[in-house]
Amino acid sequence: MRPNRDHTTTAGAGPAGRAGRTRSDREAAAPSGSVRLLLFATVREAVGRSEVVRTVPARGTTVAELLAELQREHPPVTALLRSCRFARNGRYVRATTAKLRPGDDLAIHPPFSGG
Amino acid sequence: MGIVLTRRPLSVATVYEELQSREDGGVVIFLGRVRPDRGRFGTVVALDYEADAPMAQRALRRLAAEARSRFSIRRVALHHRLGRLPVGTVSVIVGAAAPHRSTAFRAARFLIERLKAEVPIWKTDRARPSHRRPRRPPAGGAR
Repeated sequence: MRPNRDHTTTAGAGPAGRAGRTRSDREAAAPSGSVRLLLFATVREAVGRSEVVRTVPARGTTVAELLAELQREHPPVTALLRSCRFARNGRYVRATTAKLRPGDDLAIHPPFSGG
Repeated sequence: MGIVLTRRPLSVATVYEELQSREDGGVVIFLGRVRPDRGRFGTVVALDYEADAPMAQRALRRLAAEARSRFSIRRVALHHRLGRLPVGTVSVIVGAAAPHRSTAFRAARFLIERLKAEVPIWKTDRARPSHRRPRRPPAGGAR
């Protein structure tokens, strides 16, 4: 199935009629798109997967908002997230202010324990 | 420059090779191995190591560069292994070469401490339950 590339005029409609995952290289063409959450160690074990895909509106959503959603679905991650750092596309960001837009990756890093 | 993040066995010989130079009189190589800690779920038989590979590679390169400039040395090595490592397996090797031993020791110490604190690598215990749980091969089996 080919994603619908038509420009949509409303932003508030949400992802209700989404036919497939939109490739968001042309951000403006899509009202929403996906971000990937990359999970490691304790958080990966709590969620049961190493990667989670979420839909966000083209205008973006904050890291904190996305994390709240993850916590609602997987309550055990709540305590873990308090000690995590968050990297958007390879750079650490502040969860309360940093925005995620379609096509972004967010890595969730629990305290490191290499060596 | 000797940055390695791999699922394959680590080699002291390779690290030593990378630290070769005519000028350096001191070479320090540190090996970290998996130890059989007692955890909540029994004695650790293996550790699963994982990394955010692209960010870990970058952090290792940054750390190597910082060590070289901080100690004015030319050669350092940072090798870390990933995957399931049984007790006794070498999980990390760091090395530093310097004109004199004191600098080589300090640089190697700096490298391992900072690696543990700053590089996105994680280990997870795989324990053998100390009570009467049926014994079964570690999940994923032998490789």
